[in-house]
Amino acid sequence: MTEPPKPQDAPLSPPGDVTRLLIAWNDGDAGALEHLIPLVYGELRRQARGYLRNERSGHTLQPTALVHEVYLRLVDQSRVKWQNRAHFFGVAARAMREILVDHARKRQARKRGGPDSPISIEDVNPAAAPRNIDLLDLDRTLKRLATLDERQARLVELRVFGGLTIDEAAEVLEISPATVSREWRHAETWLHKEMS
Amino acid sequence: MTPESFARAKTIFLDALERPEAERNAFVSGSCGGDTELEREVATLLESESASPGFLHGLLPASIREGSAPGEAEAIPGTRVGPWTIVREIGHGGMGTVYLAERADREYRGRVALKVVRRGMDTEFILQRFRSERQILASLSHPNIGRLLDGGTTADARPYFAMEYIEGEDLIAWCRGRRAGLSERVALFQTVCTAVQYAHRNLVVHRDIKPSNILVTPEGVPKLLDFGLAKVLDARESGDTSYLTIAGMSAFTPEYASPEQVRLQTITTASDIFSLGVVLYELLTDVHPFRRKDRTPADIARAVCETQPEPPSRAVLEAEGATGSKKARLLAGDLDTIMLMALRKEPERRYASAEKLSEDLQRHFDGRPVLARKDTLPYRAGKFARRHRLVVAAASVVAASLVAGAGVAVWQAKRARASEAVARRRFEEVRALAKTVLFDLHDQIETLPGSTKARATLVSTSLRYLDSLAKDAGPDSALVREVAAGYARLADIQGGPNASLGDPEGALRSRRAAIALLENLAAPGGAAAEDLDSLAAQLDAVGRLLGSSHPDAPAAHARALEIRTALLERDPSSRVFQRGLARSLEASASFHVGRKEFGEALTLRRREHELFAGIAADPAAVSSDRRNLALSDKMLGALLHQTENLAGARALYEEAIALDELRLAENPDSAEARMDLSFSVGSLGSLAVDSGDLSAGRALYTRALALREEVASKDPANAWARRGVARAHERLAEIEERLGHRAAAEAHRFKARLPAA
Repeated sequence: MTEPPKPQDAPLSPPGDVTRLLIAWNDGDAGALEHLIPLVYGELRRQARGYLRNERSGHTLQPTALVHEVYLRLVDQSRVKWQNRAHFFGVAARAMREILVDHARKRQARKRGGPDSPISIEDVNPAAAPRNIDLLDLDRTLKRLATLDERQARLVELRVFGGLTIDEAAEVLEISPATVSREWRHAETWLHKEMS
Repeated sequence: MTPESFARAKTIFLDALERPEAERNAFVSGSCGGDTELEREVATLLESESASPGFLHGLLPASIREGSAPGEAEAIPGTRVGPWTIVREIGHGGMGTVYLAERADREYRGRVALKVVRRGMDTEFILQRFRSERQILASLSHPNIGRLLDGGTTADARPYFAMEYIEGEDLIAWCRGRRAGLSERVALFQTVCTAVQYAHRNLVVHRDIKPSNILVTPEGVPKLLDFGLAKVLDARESGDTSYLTIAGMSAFTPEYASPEQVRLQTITTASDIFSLGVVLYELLTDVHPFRRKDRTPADIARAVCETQPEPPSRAVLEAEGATGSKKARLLAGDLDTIMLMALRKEPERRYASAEKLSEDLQRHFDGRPVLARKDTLPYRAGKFARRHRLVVAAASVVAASLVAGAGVAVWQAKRARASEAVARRRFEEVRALAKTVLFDLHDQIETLPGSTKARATLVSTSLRYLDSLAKDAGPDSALVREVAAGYARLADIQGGPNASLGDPEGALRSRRAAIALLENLAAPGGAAAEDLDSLAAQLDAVGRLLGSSHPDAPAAHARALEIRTALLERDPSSRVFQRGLARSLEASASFHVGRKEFGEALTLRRREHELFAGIAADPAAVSSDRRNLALSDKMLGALLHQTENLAGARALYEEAIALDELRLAENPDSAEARMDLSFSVGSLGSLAVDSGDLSAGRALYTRALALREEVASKDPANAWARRGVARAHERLAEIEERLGHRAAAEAHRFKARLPAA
């Protein structure tokens, strides 16, 4: 790969770039990832900004929808296998998590002294999510989980921030879908226990 | 938490989820192998799982959400099961899933509850048993029993049962929701009793009576569900012993099971009576007789077998405080007695039938005398273990009242000048109570194995209050003396010569606190002899705790010896001062032995032995005098042994064994006497080994080991016994090694390294 990494807020790169990098990475070119990451981060951040700005006007932030949108813009669907897609989301999930946590921290710092309202991420379908989960709390708990079981923490990140299915997460983590199901069930329970 | 413990808890939790709910608790305690921390972690996870399944579910986009219970195929509305069509899921129980279903061919207009047994159970066996039971079960026709209509196999080879569909709420929830009064609750319960009685007459035992199996219809009619199903689904009956080996228990709900069910003994109609008793208790008090916060399922199972439930009226008061006093008054007396009779551990001592239980309830409401009798004390106090638990429980009650009393006394002493006399009286009451707990009560439970922790709690609690009383009381020498004695007592328990709790630092702190108080008492000159004697004892104890190499130890022992010599000079015939001096001689001798100054040690030891022998020879001598002499025998014997006077040592060790055997015969429950004997036997064993008689040495150490193991198994918190067991294994390993028995030596060495059982 000869192309230098682009600065984070670089203009939208043509879909070909990301697609090519994604395929190369999936074929075993570890260096491709180095170039892929800033592209994904940059696009995600740009997209997220719009959503986060509209937060107060009652806009609900939908991280996974955002990731999907970015994916559609960056990757040429006709050229990639679904495994490539899974790996893209693997990268995007981490990026999305960092962007959201960063934003939440800034917002909390701004609000310091005022009444403490937790930053929550909500479901695309709020009816199904009676509870708001505090993002910073989730992030902290996930960090602790990572020290105990890194793979399980990564799984949560992939599913919550990347919107990966069980099969896609299995592909990224290189374990069977059955194991992913089990791990997921435990992760949900453990996080609930720790965060309640 | 470490990644390792996290991973272990995860595996057990996930495996537990694969099992029917009723089996999970038993499976978890079986898998944790006694690791209570692990067990608690898994239990919390399971609790959390059922409290909020799919915590993160809502965070996922709808497109990637899976079914709520991975692994278990969801039956979709419209699916055919035998002649039934599934309408929707209505429940998810331990044995499987329950669906609302209707007859596919519309031949049968009514709807049914379809119970589809979860995967993993022995389908063939269950169906076979069902076929043999179905005649009886289908013939059970009673207005308060949910009827079993049909059974068969689903397309994916799982057994299913079709039952009368009952729309209702479980008994306790229904009563809570309607704020049903006492008589209404009892009336419902009596109806349940008629259903149970009817089934028993038809030779069907329910085996799984619990509130969730008793539904109340909107019209207020209770219906008992799943009659006979527990037997059909009981893995024990199938000879499938894998359930037993894994879990040690079968598929029942421990919270409502009878002791004989927990113990896997024969189940009879009396088991249902017990379960009815639990339901009634919970129904009338809103408190479960055995389930408590922090109790693991294994704890509950143990409580079912061993713990006397509290009288319901008292349970209400404890749970609700003053607001429950009206309810408690209604329960106290007859109803307490009736419930406790249903809940007796021995099946033959419960009500003979559900009908008899119901009739006794009726008698109470009719104002006639009930047949239930209070459990007699000899029954409850019959067994040593139970008696012991009662004493400890009584002690805790006293300690609790002490805490309450002391708070009031301190408060009153601080402010109310006007009512100084009242405050003074309360103060004295608390002080008397504290003394009782600290000394009398403590002494009563002291020799009982298993009481170490209870003793420490008791003593430290009462001491804290004595101490605060002492601060408020000003210069009251009697009180200061009491507090000093309390500190000394606490130090004994923390890490005295028998080091029960193995906490030498705590013991040292307590001893120094006692010394500071005693020095103050002794300061004004002309100090009382008893205070000086106590001071010397504490100085020696501090010297011992510091050890021979500590620079402060010699001064402590020297001062003690000086005080005690002076005291005996004042009154040479006093047994108290003789004992005192002998003890200080012993302490100083031990100090020199520690420094390998055997000449000095031998001189001191001989003087000490002489004093103890004189006291023990007195006709008025007591058990502790014999203990002192036996200890002295061993100490002097060891010194002779060390200085190659083997014949002299042997005579002393043999005398010690004889004295200790006598003491143990006098008090067979005494852990101390048993440990003492084990060390006397061990001493003789080491002498045998050094004299070249290895097989005699092995026999003696084997006996010592057995004595110590007995103490350690009765009181796992006894550090003294645990260390003793390890040491005996070490010595036996050496002996076996020298005898050329490598494997036996290895085995002992391995056991010597085992952590406390």
